[in-house]
Amino acid sequence: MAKISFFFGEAFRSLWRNYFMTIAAVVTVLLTMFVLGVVMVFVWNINAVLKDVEQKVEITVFLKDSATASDIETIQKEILGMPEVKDSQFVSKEQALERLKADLKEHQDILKDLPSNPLPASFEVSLKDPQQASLVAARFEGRSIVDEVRFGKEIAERIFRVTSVIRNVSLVFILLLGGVAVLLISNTIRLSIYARRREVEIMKLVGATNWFIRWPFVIEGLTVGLSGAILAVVMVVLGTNFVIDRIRENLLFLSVPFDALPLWQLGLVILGVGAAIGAIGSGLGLRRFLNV
Amino acid sequence: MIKFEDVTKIYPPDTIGLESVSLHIEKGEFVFLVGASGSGKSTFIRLLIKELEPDRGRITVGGRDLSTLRRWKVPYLRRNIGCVFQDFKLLPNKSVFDNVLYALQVTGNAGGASRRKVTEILGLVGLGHKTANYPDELSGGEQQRVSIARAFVNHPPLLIADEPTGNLDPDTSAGIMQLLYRINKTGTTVVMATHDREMVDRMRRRVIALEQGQVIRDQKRGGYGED
Repeated sequence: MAKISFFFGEAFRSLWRNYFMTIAAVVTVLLTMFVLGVVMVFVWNINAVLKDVEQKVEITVFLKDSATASDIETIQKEILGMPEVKDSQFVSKEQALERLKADLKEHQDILKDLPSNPLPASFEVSLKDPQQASLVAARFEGRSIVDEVRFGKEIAERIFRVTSVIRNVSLVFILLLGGVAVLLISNTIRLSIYARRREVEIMKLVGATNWFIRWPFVIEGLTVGLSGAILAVVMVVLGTNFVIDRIRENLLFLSVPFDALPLWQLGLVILGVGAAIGAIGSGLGLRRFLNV
Repeated sequence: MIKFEDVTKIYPPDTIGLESVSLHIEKGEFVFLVGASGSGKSTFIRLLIKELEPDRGRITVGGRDLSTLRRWKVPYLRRNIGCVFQDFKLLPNKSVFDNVLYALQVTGNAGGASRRKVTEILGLVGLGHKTANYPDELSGGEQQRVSIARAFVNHPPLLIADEPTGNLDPDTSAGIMQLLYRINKTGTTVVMATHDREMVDRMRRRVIALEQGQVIRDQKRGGYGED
């Protein structure tokens, strides 16, 4: 217990006495973590848009007019029993016509002269994983009561190709940026340790064990990493809210679900990364000077 | 206390630090290590605290063979050896009091007893009134006294001083020597490297003279040069 308070005392005294180094290190963490945070917010939003687009890939199974009510019920049960299916909705011939009317609005009169309802009944099937559309669609092909299965095969596949490229690129970007953050921060820490290598040497000569010397440095690194990260989180959250408000005012039609932004998790990730880099960076950066 | 058996240390590529040095220093002795710069005095001392490893031979300190001493145990060896250096090696960010206290803190002692010990030893070296000062506010002689206080606060069986008076004027040096002499009187073995001719001649203690890494003279009550 006495040791722990000694280590914390040492750490904070040294942070205070080397305040210039402390500020430089905190600012470095702040800037790198801020950029990382902003990129993560962007990527998350892009991802949400992509998901939205992907969800629009639905399978529509058009039924022949000959299908009886019991046929429809059987196939309905079968569809809902498929593990890939999220939801399925039956659209009767009448409902299909109502929809068409609604879509046509003031031009409805062109439907007036129809002798009978030409629209087929259908199932609209949404999937848990839209990537499996062609697999599920294939199961309905060639059934006696099925007229046609449509899921916009080419469009769907093109969408998936594009979204997977965007996802991979943004993942690589985050990893690269994370790497840069680690390098920058550990370099700053190494500089501040280098400036104090003589102190470390003296401590060793007096008979301090490596961990006795290391703990205050680790606590220092943790403090620097954590304070930089906290500031970064505050900036990211405030910045994001500011930008979202502006977007809401000007681009009302945008369908991005901003409210679902996981700022909490994002903040925790930034805090964790910042603290870990600080503490581990200090511990490792010291290694070279401990071999006296 | 200290035993060197055929110890050789060579700095790569081929600079001789020590060459085939064998000697024995008894408990409670006061030994001067003399010789020109580069004669091997510092190598001798750095080998003693296992800052360096010998290329050949065996070093025993307080009955412990240093070659078999594991790396993680080196700090425990050093706690039993007080070290005083020419450049004092004080922690610049700590007060005089905290510098001395640090030597006790590394052993896990930071309580009231330790603080009393520090106050006591600082009084002993004549710095009782400057405990709150920082090293850069002290004169050279005062800094060296702090470093001696730090080296001795644990009451180690062995105290090593590498040119402790090298940066000090003669009067101040005499004060430092007095201090080391008194420490020796308490039973602590003192090994002091120096090239302060006058001092060695006056003290008349055991003198080990080194030249190019070899012991060229080992005299019970010697002077700096040959008698």
